Amino acid sequence: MAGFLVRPEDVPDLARGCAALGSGGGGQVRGAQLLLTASLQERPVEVVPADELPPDASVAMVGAVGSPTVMLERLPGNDEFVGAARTWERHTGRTLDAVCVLEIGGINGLLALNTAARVGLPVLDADGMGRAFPRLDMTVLSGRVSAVPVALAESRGGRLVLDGLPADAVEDAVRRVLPAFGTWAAICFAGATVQDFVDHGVRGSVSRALALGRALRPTSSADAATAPDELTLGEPFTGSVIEVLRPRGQNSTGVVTLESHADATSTLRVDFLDEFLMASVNGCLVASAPDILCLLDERTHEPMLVDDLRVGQRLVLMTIPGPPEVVAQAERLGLPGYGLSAVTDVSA
Amino acid sequence: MSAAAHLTVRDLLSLPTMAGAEVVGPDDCVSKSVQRIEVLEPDTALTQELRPHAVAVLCVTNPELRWTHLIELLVRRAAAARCVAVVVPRPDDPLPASLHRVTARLGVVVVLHDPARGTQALAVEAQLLVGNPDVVESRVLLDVAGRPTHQPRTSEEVIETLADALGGDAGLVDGHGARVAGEGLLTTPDRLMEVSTLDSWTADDGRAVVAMRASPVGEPAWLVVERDTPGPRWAPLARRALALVRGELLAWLTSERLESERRARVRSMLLNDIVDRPFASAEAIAAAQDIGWDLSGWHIGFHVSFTGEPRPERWELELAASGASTEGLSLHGVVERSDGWVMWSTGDAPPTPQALRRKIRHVREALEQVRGGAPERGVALGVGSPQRHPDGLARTLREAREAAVLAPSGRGSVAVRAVQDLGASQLLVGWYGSGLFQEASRQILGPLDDAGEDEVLATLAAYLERACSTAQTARALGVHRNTVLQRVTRAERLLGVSLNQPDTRLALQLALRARRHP
Repeated sequence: MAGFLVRPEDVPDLARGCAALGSGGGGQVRGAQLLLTASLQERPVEVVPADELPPDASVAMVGAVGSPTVMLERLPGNDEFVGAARTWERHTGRTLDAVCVLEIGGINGLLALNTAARVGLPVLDADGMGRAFPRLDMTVLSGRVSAVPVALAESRGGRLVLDGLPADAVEDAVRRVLPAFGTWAAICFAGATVQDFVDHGVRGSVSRALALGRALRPTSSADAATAPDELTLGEPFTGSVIEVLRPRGQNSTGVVTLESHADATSTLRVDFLDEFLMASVNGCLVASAPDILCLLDERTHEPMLVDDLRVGQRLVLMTIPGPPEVVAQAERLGLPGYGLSAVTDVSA
Repeated sequence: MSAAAHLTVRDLLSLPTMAGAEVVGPDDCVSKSVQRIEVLEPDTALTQELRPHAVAVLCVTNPELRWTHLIELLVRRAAAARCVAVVVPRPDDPLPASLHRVTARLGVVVVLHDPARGTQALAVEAQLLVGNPDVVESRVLLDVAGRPTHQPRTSEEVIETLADALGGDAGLVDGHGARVAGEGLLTTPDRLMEVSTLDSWTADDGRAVVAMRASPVGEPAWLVVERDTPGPRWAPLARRALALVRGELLAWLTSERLESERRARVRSMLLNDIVDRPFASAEAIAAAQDIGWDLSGWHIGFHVSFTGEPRPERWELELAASGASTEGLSLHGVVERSDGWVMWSTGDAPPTPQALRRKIRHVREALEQVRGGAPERGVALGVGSPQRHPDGLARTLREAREAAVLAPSGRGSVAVRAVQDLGASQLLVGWYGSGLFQEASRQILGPLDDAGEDEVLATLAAYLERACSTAQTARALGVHRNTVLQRVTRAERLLGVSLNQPDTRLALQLALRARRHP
């Protein structure tokens, strides 16, 4: 697939697609959507398939790390993301030839494109997670591409480089630094060659988000959400939320229960933590991480975050298959990644 | 049909290891027949084959806390395999609405047991119960029978053992509905009165009740066990358990009854020593102190005499005394005399008129309870004046006796007379007791006695006591006014007198009063 330009008019679809790929997590996309629209009005950004760039070109992942809730109050700007990329360049002495999306699900899917637009670089049509995950070490490149050096930046000009750490210490180190950065920071890390991203990254992520966002455009109020077959799994479940149980402490998952509109005795249960983890209909498992569970508003087709769930909402569950690169690491990036046992259900 | 075919989920819930278990799912599903137990390990819970009519027990020694989703998946598998129930440890998290809805839709109950009791032990017990219920039930009966010891068990110990072994509430209830031992029983005494030997039934609230009458001598008692909605095997097991301890409890009740009689006899003799002699001996005073009688304070005597049948039992009076005592009035005595029962209260100071009225009211209310058990019974309560020291006790009891004689007793009421209120009528008390007066009474009323007209005599007494009011007499006796008139006319005819004459009425009333005085 050839590269393409992302223009301001593409942003609503891209934002919807990124939110859907967030599986209920990844943060609210609205702020980054406005930021990206403004940036693209100055200059569209080019999205390039990884294998169309020189294999030895220099690439790093860019995004935000920390609390998406605080990001709604202390909105992201341009400087911290550009600052993170420039700090990484200064520290490594290498010049970036392109940037890669850290996490296509949620707000990070848009922030990397905004950074690319601001620094005038193309964006790889790839990402590190294929969806949204709660931790930095949950990228598909973890253990294959060195995470360090890590450049962190915040809006007041603060910059920090973490280097020399073993791979399994990076997540913990960044989390400990974040309070001093105001609970979230721009990050540029996992610098490597394009060939490394061709070999180990999740390919086609940006074009996938865009296609999904277009497919989920609301057409009329009466239409149920639909998406191309190749983008979804199984039949959508449409129903009303009758109960939301939030997670209680570390050893607990949240559960949202929906009553079907088609059959009042039919029940959808979705377990969640930072993201939607698994869904079962009448005790039959229909989807689980690393597949992407998307609860859409029945009327607007806006994807719901776990924090948005309220009793009475009319929602549609749509399951999007996890990218093959992520599914291949399901032992690490599926339910066990959230501290749950993998479920092999034979009742279906 | 094999025994196991009758076993239901409710029977499994009766297992000791199931204590405190919570059931989620349709009510009717707990009555489904259980034929086998499938023990599931966490790793294979979603892959192991399940067979129909089974209860799947998930064995988790260290339950993973975030797994309520697993329960729903198990329910789905159980429903597909036509299993009856799924047993899992109760998770820490609240149960989501989805679990309730899924169990209702699929018709499989989830039993959430107390994780502290251990799933392994539960699985073993459940398998044993399903495979060989007689063994499990024999263990229950062995527990009920207890180990042989040198000391016989008290009723409390037997009841406690029964309650533990049968997983319910147990108690021993005496003839007037008071609980002798045990706690938590909801069955009413009225229902127990219907049990003549051994009976079991299901109460309106779903509690299963098994009751057995145990009556050594005189007063009946019932041994009762109850349990919330048990399985069908529970009641037959409970009946056998009750039969097992019946002899032991009968022996205990009999010895208690004998001891009670002995104590009553001692009290009676002691009271005679105190009351019937000019001065109480030092030994009598010491013995009185030993049984809790404080003779040095201020006493108020109560004398209770009964008319009509049946005659009251001592336990009825003791119950009344203890009932009145709980109202802030401590009553001593309850000693039977030749013409009734006596009791008294003792205090540090003479009671105020208000306090005395309150005490009398309490005793009267307690006696109303006694009378309530036999509507035909009439009660006369005489109250003495406050008196001090042992000789004062004798005096107040004597006054109470005289007042009781003058109390206008009749069937169906408690009549009260305090000696302070007697006034001029106190003069009559001495006359009633005189031999001359008694002889005259016998002569006047002789025709009615000879004719065996007890009802006419009682009616005539009530009629004269109520100022010849037919309506009041009819109300007091619970008969029609015409019946009163007919009996009065009959009395006039048999006695050859007319009640129109005031002298005749006075003579007859005095004669009838004298009859009540021994």
